[in-house]
Amino acid sequence: MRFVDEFRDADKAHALAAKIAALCEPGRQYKFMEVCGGHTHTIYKHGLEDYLPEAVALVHGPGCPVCVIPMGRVDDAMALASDPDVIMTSFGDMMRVPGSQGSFFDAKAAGTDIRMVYSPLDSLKIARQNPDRQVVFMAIGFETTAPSTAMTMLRARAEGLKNFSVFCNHVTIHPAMKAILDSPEMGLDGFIGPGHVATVIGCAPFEWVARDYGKPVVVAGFEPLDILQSIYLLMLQLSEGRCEIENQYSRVVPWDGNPVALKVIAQTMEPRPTFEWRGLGFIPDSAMQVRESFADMDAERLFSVPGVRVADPKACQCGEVLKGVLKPWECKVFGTACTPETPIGTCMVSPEGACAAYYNYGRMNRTRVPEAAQAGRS
Amino acid sequence: MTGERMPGPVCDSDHCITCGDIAVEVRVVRLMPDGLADVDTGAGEERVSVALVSASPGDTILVHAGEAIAVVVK
Repeated sequence: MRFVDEFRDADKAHALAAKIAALCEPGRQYKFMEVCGGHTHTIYKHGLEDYLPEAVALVHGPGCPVCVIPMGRVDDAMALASDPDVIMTSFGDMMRVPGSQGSFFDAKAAGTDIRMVYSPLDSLKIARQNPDRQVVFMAIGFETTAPSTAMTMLRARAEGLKNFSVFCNHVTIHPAMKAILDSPEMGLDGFIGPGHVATVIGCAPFEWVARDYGKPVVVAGFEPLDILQSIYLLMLQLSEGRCEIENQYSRVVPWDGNPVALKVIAQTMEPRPTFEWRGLGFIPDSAMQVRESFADMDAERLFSVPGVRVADPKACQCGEVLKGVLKPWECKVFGTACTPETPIGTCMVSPEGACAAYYNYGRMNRTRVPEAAQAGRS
Repeated sequence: MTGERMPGPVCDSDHCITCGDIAVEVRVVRLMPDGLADVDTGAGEERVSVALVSASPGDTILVHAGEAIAVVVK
């Protein structure tokens, strides 16, 4: 396959498994969090846990933007979409996220004009084609998608489009990582850092994790060898007593990120005083809102948004899964009442959600590769 | 309804379009006006924005949600 074969080489994966196993100190347990849902997806899809010694545990983090959206925010979006003058546009997996009254797909089936787009640019096209309707783009994602939303707003401004606005739900990764580091139950040894967030913000902004919390971060790519190599680099840091930010994904991630992308984000958005995360609650400065200078494109200013707060369904344990306290299969409703076809919680919706990833790829019996099984044996 | 797929288009399991995590590497075929470019995705050509990167025809770029966020160093 184009671009990826060299990062999926089985011999190299076995060699890395051996190097990781060799670094395991007898009797010591290692716990690393992969922050990003994309990493969770790769880990399950390629069975990477089978390449790790029993002493090395991976904890799945909150880095799936669909999974962290609270139900109330979906209800707010639904309220916006129910205005007959509005065409709501949304990415595909957001369409299936359940609010308290059902998902976007349910609303669409009932006649609400909600359309799926692959890029915010598609929303602009819809706005041009429907000058008498207001097109509201449901903007979600971490720093990876924020540049796309920002550029779209700048393009709309340049074109003089008057019927395009954004319902901004962009979140930022650092406050969530801090909330996790402050959770007493976690006990992490380090982070597999979010590679594509770092593409935009760079590696330097992660330095506080090493400085203030004494945890190493290795910014990682998304192919199997990227992740195994990142785990090796984390183990190497621990064995050498180092605690640093390293960039494993240097083929894509510049140390300073993408300054042009950061500039357009800053031009159009600013930190939101507080934002609710599913499972983590309200976290200050953890999300973005549209700047005053773009108020004419801010759906929250243009329309009446109810600001709904909804408690998660009692059976749903997405919060614990997002914090890494529970493994997906430990949730009461995993794979029974909650499946990718009929999700109760957000973690089962997106392919990057830990529950969906485990449901799709992780449910079969697996055996550790010999290199990993030998770890800690003399 | 249990066991049936929800109606309408859904993401395939390999590609989440809401997060940069599984952003797509594509090759620039030609640059277009207004910071846009036609790219080869391996399954056809698509038009994306390259306004935030310095890309030339032949470069591999990382595209997320229609916006290139990095040029891949090969």
